[in-house]
Amino acid sequence: MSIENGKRSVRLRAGVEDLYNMWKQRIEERKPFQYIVGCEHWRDLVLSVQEGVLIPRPETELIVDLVADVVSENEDLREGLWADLGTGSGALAVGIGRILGSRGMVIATDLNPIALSVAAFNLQRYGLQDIIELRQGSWFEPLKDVEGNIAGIVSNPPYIPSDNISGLQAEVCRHEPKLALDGGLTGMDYLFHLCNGAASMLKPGGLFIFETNGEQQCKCLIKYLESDLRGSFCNVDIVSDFAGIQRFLIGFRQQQT
Amino acid sequence: MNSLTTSSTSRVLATLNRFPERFRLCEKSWGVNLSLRPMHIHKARRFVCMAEPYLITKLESAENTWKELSVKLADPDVVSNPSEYQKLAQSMAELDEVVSTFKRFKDCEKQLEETKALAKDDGSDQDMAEMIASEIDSLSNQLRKLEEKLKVLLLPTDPLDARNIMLEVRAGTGGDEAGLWAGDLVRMYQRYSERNSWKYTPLSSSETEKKGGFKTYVMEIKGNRVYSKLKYESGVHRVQRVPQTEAQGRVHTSTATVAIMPEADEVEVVIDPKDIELTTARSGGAGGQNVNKVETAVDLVHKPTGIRIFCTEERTQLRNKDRAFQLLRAKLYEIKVREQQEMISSQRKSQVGTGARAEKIRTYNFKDNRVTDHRLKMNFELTSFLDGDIETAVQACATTEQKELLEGLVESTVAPTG
Repeated sequence: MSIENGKRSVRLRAGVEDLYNMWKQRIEERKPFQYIVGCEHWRDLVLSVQEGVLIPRPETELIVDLVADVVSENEDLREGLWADLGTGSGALAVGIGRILGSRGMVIATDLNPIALSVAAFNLQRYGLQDIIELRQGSWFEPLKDVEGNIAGIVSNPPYIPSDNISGLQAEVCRHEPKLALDGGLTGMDYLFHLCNGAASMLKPGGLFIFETNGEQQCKCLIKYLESDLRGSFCNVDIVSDFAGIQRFLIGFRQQQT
Repeated sequence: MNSLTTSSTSRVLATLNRFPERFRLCEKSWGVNLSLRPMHIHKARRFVCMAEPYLITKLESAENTWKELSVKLADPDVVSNPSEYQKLAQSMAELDEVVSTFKRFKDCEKQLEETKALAKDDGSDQDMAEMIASEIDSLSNQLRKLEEKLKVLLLPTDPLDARNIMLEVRAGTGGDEAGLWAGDLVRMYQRYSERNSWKYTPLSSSETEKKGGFKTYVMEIKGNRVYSKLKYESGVHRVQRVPQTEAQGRVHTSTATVAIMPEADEVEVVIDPKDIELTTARSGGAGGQNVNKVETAVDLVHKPTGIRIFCTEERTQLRNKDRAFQLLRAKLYEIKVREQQEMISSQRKSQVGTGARAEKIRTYNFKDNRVTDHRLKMNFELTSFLDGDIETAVQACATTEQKELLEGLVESTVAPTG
């Protein structure tokens, strides 16, 4: 459809009436802008997103940079098998897939079939079919066959305390999937689960990076690693995001002596 | 510099002796006594050693270096060392043109001398004399041209000339009108870029309330030898016109400052991560999964210099981060280059070169449809100028700079160093 306004004509991807309805949804229903246009700019990518899939957050971009820093000094990890757990739109899988290069491999898992179909679209769009494999299932379930061989685990798991969800920004709590947000009473259910799993799934020297809700959760996790999972990890650290919030927990599986 | 004066004097004296009848009369004074001369000798008034002494010194030194280099390049030790060989070969190649032009200059000089000697002997035959006189004329011209060429060849070239740049326009005081003026300048440079088939990319900007105006605007311009042409645009551009916002038709004066920053090589500017503070524009709050806001602006602070870059142009944090670093590198490089240049040229003040930021370089007068460049003391037509037709001004600046550099060259060789 084109509008003629004097000499200039404007081409639109949707009719004016459709646009108006979308705008109404945006303003009245607080439907996220990214769901309306169907895509989101993230790092140097353009990812397809839709209802049922979490919209990748700017903070999460930093995880890919952290992975890049580690593999630049560690060829062994660069050529290994990586896992993106709870991949959603596939953002992290695509992000690290592009820096691992041809010899690395990524397995991306998610419970939600909608997420997997969106992730499939995105990884194909970036030509990473040979590097990224999608598996449906819960966290480490689909990875039993590679236990102990994983070079790196990245995840942005749901970390919002259940009671907080209804109080979140309308775009988030009314439209984004609860499955991707709700982390149980403290918000840390899945983070603990991931730490436990990492202790057995990672190969010695393997890396994990998890995104959290901030300082409190990070510190709590570190205490947990030092007590219940003592001896499993080393070089554990907290990395802040650009807003100064202690956002990421990073660490390495202890080398066997 | 006594040796210089002596050598030139001795050359001139030697010349005097070759023309005993004509010039002995004025050995005592430099002034040439015209009344004693027959007509056609006016053309041969100047002494054969036409080139200024400082020039000859430099040329002879270049020639010696060239000879030394060719000897070294024949040395088997050097030949076996490829990197050393390449370095020397490159230095020699740079001097090739100077040395060959100097040879032609000396040949031409010799020819001129011989022709003049001929003129002295064949004074009787009128036709012959005319031919010789015109030959002297053309040789003298050729010699003058070669001398000019040599002077230019000896000028140091600006190593930044071939680079791409970042161009920043900042509105001066004057609110909306200054902002609109900044916008006009931006468009002028964009059109100039199009004329040169350069590619421009906006990097960051902050708009004023009035549409089309900018408080600041930064764009990257990539192409062939961009810096060599746009380097003269640095400075304050002043405009005199009736603003759009003006109800009573009074003329206002506003300004905008243009800064030209050559693109930095990534290797040359070292940024220590510890010196960097990088934050996002978000003003607090839990962040992460808690919110969905399209806020990807990045705020980059370089602590040692206090440079602060707020980049909002791109759609993701990563791209804004990269842009901010790119801009920071360019600014740090500009600072470094400016420091070096200030050190070197503390005695030479080149008005036309990378002028100080506070220097008012042009005034644009709308009523008279005229642009005045204060460095060149030249006027241009305003309408075509703002449409991007600034090439004449650019060339004039380049020529003026060359002239000033030439003068500087003289000073640096002839003046006592210290």
